Amino acid sequence: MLLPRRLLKVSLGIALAVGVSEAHSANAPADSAEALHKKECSTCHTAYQAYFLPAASWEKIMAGLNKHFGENAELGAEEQAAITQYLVANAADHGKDKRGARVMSALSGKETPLRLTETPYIIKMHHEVPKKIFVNNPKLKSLSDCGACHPGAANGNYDEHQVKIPGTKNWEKD
Amino acid sequence: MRDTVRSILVLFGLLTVADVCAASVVDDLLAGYQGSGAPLYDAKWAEANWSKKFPAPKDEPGAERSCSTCHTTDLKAKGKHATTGKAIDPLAPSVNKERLTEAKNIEKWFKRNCTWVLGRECTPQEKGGFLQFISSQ
Repeated sequence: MLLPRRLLKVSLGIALAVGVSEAHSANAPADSAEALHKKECSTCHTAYQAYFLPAASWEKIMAGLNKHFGENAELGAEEQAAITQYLVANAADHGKDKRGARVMSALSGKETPLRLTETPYIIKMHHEVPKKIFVNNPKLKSLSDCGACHPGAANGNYDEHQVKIPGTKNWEKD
Repeated sequence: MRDTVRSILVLFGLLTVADVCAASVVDDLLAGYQGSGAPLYDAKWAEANWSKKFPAPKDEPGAERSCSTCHTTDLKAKGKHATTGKAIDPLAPSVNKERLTEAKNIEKWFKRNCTWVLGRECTPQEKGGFLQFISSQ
């Protein structure tokens, strides 16, 4: 009788310990650098995928967060280091995504653009979109909100068949 | 049935715990600001200054700036980022449970947004006022 009871206690203890550790990890997951990048950068604009800019561009951007296109976007030292490392490792010239290679081949020499919307690759990919849709569209405040027209932007899906430009029914015909 | 009752009780308990946590985050921050010297401004002061306009810096010319530029005058409503146009979730904890639950996040945004609106960081007295105003919403 004694042994089973002890066994029961031990197994209960293990079950509790497992339960507690699971509950703990579910409540406070250590954010991966990728999740941290998404969370921090997407508060103000689309968390641009790292493959859109070369590593040197990301290094410059992340070193100047106190003056980030006219705003203070400073992060804690730990978050800044983790996100920089993530962006550099997955940058256009370092990462494995084929779009990175296209971004790089559209750049001449050793340019380090700071604005995605000014990179030759992004300009080329949008050349079919009439300027009037961008310029005089009150619903489009800035091109930095990729998700305004690309519903899958947050997950890196920029499929042109899914594009929906706010305030425009059929942008290809308008 | 008993299980359902139990899950409801547990859920209710968790929600209460979350509320208490949010309250203690705010109280701890206020106590810290208080400890820095001068008495804190109150929620009324913050409300009166919420829409007060400050000129844009000379190197970034543009429209005058205030808290309400992005967060609007209704803290229970969604706001809009002044530059990018991206939606900002409501600040009022009564409609957005995630607000005021993490001290680090609160300080991060005070630093960023005071710098944007005022061109300097807020004092503990000012932060105390705004924190009391936002948490009352």
